[in-house]
Amino acid sequence: MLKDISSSYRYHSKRGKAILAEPRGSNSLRLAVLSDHVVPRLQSILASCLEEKSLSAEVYESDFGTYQIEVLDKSSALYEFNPDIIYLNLCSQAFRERFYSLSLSEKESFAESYFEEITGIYTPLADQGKSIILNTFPQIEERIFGEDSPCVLNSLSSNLNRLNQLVISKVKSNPNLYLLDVGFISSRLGLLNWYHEKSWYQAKIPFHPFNAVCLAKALSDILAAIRGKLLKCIVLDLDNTMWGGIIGDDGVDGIKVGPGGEGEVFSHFQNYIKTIHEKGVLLAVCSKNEEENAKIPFNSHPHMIIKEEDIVCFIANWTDKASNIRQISLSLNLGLDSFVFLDDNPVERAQVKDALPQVVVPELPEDNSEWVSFLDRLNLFNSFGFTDDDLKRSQMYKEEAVRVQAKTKYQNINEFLISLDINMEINPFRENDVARIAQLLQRSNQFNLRTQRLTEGDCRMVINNPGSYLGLSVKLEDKFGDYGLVSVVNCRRESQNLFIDEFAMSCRVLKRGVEEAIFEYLINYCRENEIQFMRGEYLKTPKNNLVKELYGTLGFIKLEETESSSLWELSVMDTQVPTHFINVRRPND
Amino acid sequence: MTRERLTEEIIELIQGLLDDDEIQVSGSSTASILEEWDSMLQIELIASLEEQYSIKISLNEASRLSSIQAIVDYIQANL
Repeated sequence: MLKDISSSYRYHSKRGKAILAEPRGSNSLRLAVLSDHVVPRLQSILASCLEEKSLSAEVYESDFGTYQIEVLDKSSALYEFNPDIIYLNLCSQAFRERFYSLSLSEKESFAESYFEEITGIYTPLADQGKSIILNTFPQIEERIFGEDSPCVLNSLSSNLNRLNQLVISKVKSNPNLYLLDVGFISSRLGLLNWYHEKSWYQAKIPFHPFNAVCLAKALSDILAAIRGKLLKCIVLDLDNTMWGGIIGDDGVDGIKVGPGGEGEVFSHFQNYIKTIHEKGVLLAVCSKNEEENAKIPFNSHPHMIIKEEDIVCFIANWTDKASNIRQISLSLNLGLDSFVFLDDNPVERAQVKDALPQVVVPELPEDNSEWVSFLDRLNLFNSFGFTDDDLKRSQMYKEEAVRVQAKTKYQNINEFLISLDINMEINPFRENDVARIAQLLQRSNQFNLRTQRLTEGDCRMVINNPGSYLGLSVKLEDKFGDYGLVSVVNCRRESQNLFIDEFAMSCRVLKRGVEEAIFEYLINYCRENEIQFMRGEYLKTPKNNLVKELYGTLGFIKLEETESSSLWELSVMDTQVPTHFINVRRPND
Repeated sequence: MTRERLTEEIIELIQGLLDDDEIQVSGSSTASILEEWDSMLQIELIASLEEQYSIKISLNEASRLSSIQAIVDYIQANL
C-alpha cells in the first residue's frame, strides 16, 4: 500500500463528506454507478475530486449484485433516478467466481459470453442516448499455467485479456461508450499494491480499500472530459524545463537536449509534450529571456523536438509570468482555466498559482527524470479520440495572430471584413460532422447561449427527427485559411415558433459577422416555412457573459429576465435582415 | 512503546478515519458501543493498522479486533 494513496483517501473521503452535506448545484451531473462489488466511500471521494474541477454530481449507487435486475426493471430506482451517465463498474473477482463455476470447455469461451452479458446490460441504456462508462479488468495472480497462461484459452489469464480486448474495441467503435482503464491503474500501482484479498472476503471490496481513491479520481477525470472541461494550452518555461542549462549563459552548444545523459531526459519530455500537442493541445512559451536568445535553440539546435512552428504564442521577456500568461489567454481568446503552466522553478510556479488560481500549475518533482510519469499520473489531457480539426487547431490559432495584425491596417472594420473574403457554408447536421459538432459544444464556454452540451447521440437524434429539429453546423474560411466547423445552432420547432435550443460558436471567429450571417439564414428559413417567431434564451454560466445581450443586438425583444437567464423573441416577418460581409453557401446552392 | 502511548495512537487513528471530529473515542471504545464503528470503518481500520505498524493482520484476527483494547493487545503482541 502506498503512503500517498492512503492519505489521499482519508483527505478526499473526509472532505467529500462535507461537500455532500451541502446541496448540489443545479448544473450537477447525474451519475449512476452499477457495481458487482463495493467501493468504499465512493460518493464522498468522487464529490471531492469533482469539486476540485468545479463540478458536482448527483450519484446513484445500486446495491452490489442487483444491477442486472435494476436495468431490466423499468420501474426500478435506477430509472426513477434518470441518470445521464452510467458507470458499469465490474471487477475481476466477480468474474473469477463465475469462471470457476464452469466446465473446462465453457471456460474456453467465457470472456466472450460474459461480454455478451455486459453488452446486454448497457445496450438498452446506451440506446436511450445515455453515456456509458465501462472498465477494463486487472489481471489476477492465479496463473495455473505459469508463464504460458495467456496462451491457454481456458485459463483465467487468457479470459481476462480477451475480455479487456472486447471492452476496448467496443468502446472504440461506439461514441456513447467511455473507458475507465482500471487494468492500467492497477498495473501502475502494481498488483501487489492493488489487491487486498481480505477486503474482498470481508466486504466484497475488490482492491485495497484505499485504492478507491484511484478509481474515483479516474472517474472524475472522465466525467470532467464528458462535461467538456478540457485543458487546451500548455505554457512552457524554457531554461531547465525544455532543455538543461540556461541559453543566455551556456549558449546553444552548452544546453542539454538530445542523445546522451541528461539531454535524453529533456528529449523525452519534449517528445511527450509534442505528442500532447499533436492531439490538439496548443503550446505556448513563457520564458524570462531575451527573445532573440530564447529562439536560438528552436532554430539551430539539431536535437530540439518541439519546433518554433509548434508554438502558437512565444513570449520571452522579463515581465512576471502571470501577466504574460494573462496576455496569452487574451490573445488566444481562451479562458485561464484551460491553461497548464510547466516550469521547473518553484518560485515562478508559486507566483502564477497565486496570481492566477484558475491555471493548473503542476508541482513538478525536483528530479526531472520523473516529470513525464508525474504529469501522466495527473491525467490532465483526458479526451476521447481526436478529430481532423484537432490536428489543424494550432495552425488556425496562428492564422488568427496574423489576422489580428492585419486588422490594424484598415481604416474601418467593414473595410477589413470585406478584405478578408470570408466564405461560409451552412449545413444541416450530417453524420460526418457529428464528432466535431459534439466536440465544439463540449469545448465552447464563452460563446454558448444555453450550454446544452449535446452528445454525439443527441446530434443523431436531431438528424433523425428533421420534422422537430433544425440542427445547423457552420464552416468558415477566409483568405488566411480554413477555420473548419466553427458554429452550431440547434433549434426546436414549436408550432408557430422556432426555439433556439443551443447556439455555440468558437471564439476564434468572433466579430466577423458570423452570427449575423447565421441569423440571416434562420430568418429566411422561418419565412420559407411560415414560422412567425424565433425565440432564444440565454442561460448564464460563469463564462458566457460575452453573449448576454447577443439576441438584443440581433434585433430580438426581451420577454423575461431573471438573475440567471433571459428569454427573447424575434418577429420574423417584421425584422430587418442583419448586415454582414460573408459569402454564404447554403446546402442547396 | 507503553500501553498508554499505543492506546493514544490507536484512538488518534480511528478519529482520523471518522468524518466527524466531535465523536468521542476513548480507550474503552468498542465497535458495539460506538455507533460510527461500522463494518466499513472496521475495514479501513485494519488497512490503516497494517500500514501504520507495517504488519499483516490475518482475516481471522481482523474480525476479532473490535475494541480499542483488543487492538492494543494485538499490536503489542505483534510489533
